[in-house]
Amino acid sequence: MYAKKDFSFTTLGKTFIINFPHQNDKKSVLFLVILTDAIKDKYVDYIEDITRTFNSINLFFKSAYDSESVSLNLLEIIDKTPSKLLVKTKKWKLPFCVDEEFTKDISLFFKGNQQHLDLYLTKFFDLKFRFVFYGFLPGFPYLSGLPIDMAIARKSIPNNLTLKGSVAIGGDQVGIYPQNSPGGWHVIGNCPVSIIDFSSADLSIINPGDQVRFYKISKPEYQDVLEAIRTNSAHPYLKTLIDD
Amino acid sequence: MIEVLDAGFYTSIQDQGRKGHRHLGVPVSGAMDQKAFELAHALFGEQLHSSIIECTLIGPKLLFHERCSLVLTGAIMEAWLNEKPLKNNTPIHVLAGDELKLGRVLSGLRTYIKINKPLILPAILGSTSFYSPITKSAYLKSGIHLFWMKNDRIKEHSNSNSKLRWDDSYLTDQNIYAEKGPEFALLSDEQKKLLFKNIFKVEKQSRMGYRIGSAFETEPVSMLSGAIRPGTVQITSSGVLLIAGFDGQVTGGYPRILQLTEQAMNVMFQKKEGDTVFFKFYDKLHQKEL
Repeated sequence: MYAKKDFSFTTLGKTFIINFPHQNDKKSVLFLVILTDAIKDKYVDYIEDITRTFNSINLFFKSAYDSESVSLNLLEIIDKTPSKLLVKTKKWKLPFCVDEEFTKDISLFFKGNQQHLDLYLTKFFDLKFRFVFYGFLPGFPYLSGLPIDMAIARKSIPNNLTLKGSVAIGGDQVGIYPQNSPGGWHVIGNCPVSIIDFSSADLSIINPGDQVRFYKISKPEYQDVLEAIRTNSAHPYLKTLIDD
Repeated sequence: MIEVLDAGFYTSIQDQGRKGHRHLGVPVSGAMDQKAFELAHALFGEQLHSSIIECTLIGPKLLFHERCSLVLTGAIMEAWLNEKPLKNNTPIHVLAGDELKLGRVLSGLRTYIKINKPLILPAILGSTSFYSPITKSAYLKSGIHLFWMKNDRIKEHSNSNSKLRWDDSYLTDQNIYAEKGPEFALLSDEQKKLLFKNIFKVEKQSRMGYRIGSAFETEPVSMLSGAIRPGTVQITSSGVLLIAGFDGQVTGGYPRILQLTEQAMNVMFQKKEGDTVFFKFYDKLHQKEL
């Protein structure tokens, strides 16, 4: 959990940055969700946007600001933010296909050792992740919760093409590629469901602090989901929100 | 209505940008040269920002099917209205059947075409700025038509703004003013000195950002991704300087050593491949460009 002394401030032009150490535990993750909301409430009229990363909160001011008074105000907000407030978070389940078509990257990483690969994926399906922020590409979610012994360093040379839907590991971060893109993370499978549809008016999306789990689907099921999306028809796997 | 006869090298629609969606990972977009964008509006006496056409390197050929007024700002390109040469920063009347032709760029890189009518374009996440895949295409295609709102009471341009003063010397300026970024301290003392002394050459550019070579090799650091905004300069371990443009990613994983001032961005983003620049230290506390 965080103490006031863990926070420090820097500036990047009209962006004011609140730095803190990256902590993966549930309490810390939820505290930062509450803190971000409190800061947003205070500055809503003065900022274009407020963003998160694992170790920062970033305020994009509309115009020049006095960084000293902002720092003082923020320290006060940090002080006042309760660490035990109940956060209403949602639970999501995402269909995930680990057919060999999608596991070439990770298979290469395990040098073709099928046993190691299967063990890794089995462990992965048991994990609960928390969504922390979107970055890199529009709708690219950064998930925390991968144990450090399952972390895989980024590739030294990025791929030219990582496919849309790829679920990938970069260090102890997990992400899902929302579009085809070059990428330096190790792909472990594919999720056919889009996290955000920017063309839809309703951006009901995974929010910071929400829990995310992956469940296994077969290749034919994966094709069915894609077909359902293409024809805009219903499919049980398209229901990703878990009811309370 | 405007018919795009030839779209040119890389022509897009830009407005005030897609502000307020960075938390979804969506870049802000908008005009790369904000000064030229503002000037274009000011020349028509418009307070509110509207969609405008951003041209890069080689401009488009446009056929006007209705009358309107237009103005060119930003980079100086070869420009003709029905074979008659046009000057930047000077609003002119256009009649139905007139053809605007922009050729090669002569000074700078990005020219803006603003007409005094509101173009009808789909706004996605509050903006008409082209950015793929948020918008279908990243650039205008030849053969398409751009429509504008009829019956909209927009006053014909008068000469009321002809006294507006502008200064296009920034197009040839080589000085790029910048503040220290959060990871500036990762540079060695020698590198810090040379950064504000050496001459740097643009290797590659796009709306996403600029790539500039340097000899500053740095220790590879395993950083968690940090916030990036237009004008943020990151350095890779092999010494490549990456300057984020308006379509640049909202997060980046390399040390952020500099942040260009707002004015310096206008200068920088008018540079093309092969152009050279000097970085100058901007002392924010003393509001001086040293």
